[in-house]
Amino acid sequence: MVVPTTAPRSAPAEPVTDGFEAFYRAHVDRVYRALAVTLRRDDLAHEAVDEAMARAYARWHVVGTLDNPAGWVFRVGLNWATSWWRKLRREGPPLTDTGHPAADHPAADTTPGGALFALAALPLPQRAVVTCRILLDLSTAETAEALGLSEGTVKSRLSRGLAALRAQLSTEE
Amino acid sequence: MDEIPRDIQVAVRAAAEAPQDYKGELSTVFRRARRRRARRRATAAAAAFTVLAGLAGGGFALRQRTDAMPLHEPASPVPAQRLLLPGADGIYVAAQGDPSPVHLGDAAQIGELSVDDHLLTHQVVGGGRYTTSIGLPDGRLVSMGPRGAAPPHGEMLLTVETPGGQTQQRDVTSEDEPVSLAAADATTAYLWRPYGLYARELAGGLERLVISSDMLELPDSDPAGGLDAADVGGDRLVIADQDRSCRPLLTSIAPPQGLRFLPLTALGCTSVTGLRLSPAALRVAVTYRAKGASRVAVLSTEDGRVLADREVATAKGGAAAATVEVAWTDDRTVRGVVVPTGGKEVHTLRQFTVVS
Repeated sequence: MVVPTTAPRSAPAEPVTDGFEAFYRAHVDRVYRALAVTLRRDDLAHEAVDEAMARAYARWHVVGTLDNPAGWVFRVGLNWATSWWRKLRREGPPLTDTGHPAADHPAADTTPGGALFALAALPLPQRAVVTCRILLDLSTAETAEALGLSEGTVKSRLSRGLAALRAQLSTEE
Repeated sequence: MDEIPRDIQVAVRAAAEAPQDYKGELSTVFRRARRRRARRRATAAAAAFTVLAGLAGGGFALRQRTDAMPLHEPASPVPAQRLLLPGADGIYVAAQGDPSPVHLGDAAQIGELSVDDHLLTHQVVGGGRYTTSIGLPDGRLVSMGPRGAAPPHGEMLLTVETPGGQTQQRDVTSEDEPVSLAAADATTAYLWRPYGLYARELAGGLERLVISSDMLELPDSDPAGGLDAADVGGDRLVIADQDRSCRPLLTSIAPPQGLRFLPLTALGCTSVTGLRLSPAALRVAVTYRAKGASRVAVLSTEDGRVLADREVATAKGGAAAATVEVAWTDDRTVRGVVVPTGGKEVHTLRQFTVVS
């Protein structure tokens, strides 16, 4: 795949994309999995990561200079997916809400060690912090920046999320 | 608490292996970015044009208000959609055209009612009971039907026939999975497959997923089986899910996102039988059942308002044993016909028009 980095003079200007392809190949699967765990829907995560990557590509001259472009892509994907749902819900709730990323009840599926079940029981904000910290390997400060939160909020959500996970996983055992 | 216990890290990482693999490609991201950029430019251009038009021609436009068209309406005429009769099953004659009766239903041909009220027939290669056909404004006919055994075990063929008789035919079956034709335009056929709606290039056969079944809350194994009606026009998809037939859902397919529901419940709707987007996708014509009668409503896709609604077949008039087909003449005018089915008598097809 050739990434267009220059354009003919007569053509419309293409975004500056040096390094985008390498970034995409290195991070897309990890961000997708983080979104799939957070949103609890693989298909929505797929669309969200594609949309967020397209936006990152369009603004790569800015996004590429960030400390954690993957965190930026995660946040944009998460916002896009939750907006999509909210928009649908404003028009009228679907008959079943089980697929809603913000649903409080756990999904029916089970996973190795019951961790996905336990994660699904967390509120969406806590789940987002936990996945950023563990799956994207972001520090507290980096998670705060990626999600647009204060470090205190990240710490408190992480603390509550880990406590709930610990309790849930202990119950499973 | 900033440290994360190792056992929880391991459990969460294991959980992240559960989702199915990411199947996207970089080329999809580039395409998506290009579409997004084009949309933003078009929006900016339209906004600038609107402002300039408002400044330069405001007074004149006010004086000519009665003749004015909304700014979002396309200025150039769009080709009229064709009124095909896929549900026909019987002997028919057009009310104003050639009085010779035509038999439609079990032969390899499909009927069409022209704007000037002639009943035309088109041969469909390999056509039959399971075949779906869509007529393109340029005269081509896009059809899908089985070769050999009936679905789900036969090969499904996508056929494009030109008015000159040239035929291009492709087997679009994949691993015995159900596939059906949702819509078609000059370059693309839209197919329902288990994972969602796919756009297939008519020229090259390249397919891409445009929206997944899960995003539309349709059964993953056979999304078309969960629908009462659907249509694609431009970058809009409208579906009537069997579970909420009278609340069709309008979505964008580029990028895929839900836009709004188009409720017909206030009109007494009990089920939707057909959906057809106008050429610019600004309106949608909905055929539906209400109190045993068949009706046609026109809704705005921009805000869901009901712009027109009329009864086209009464319960006494045999609405239950008839289908209703509609096609847009332009972005404001939809023509249609009630097609009675069955019986040995000759059915006369009378066109109706709904202007919104």
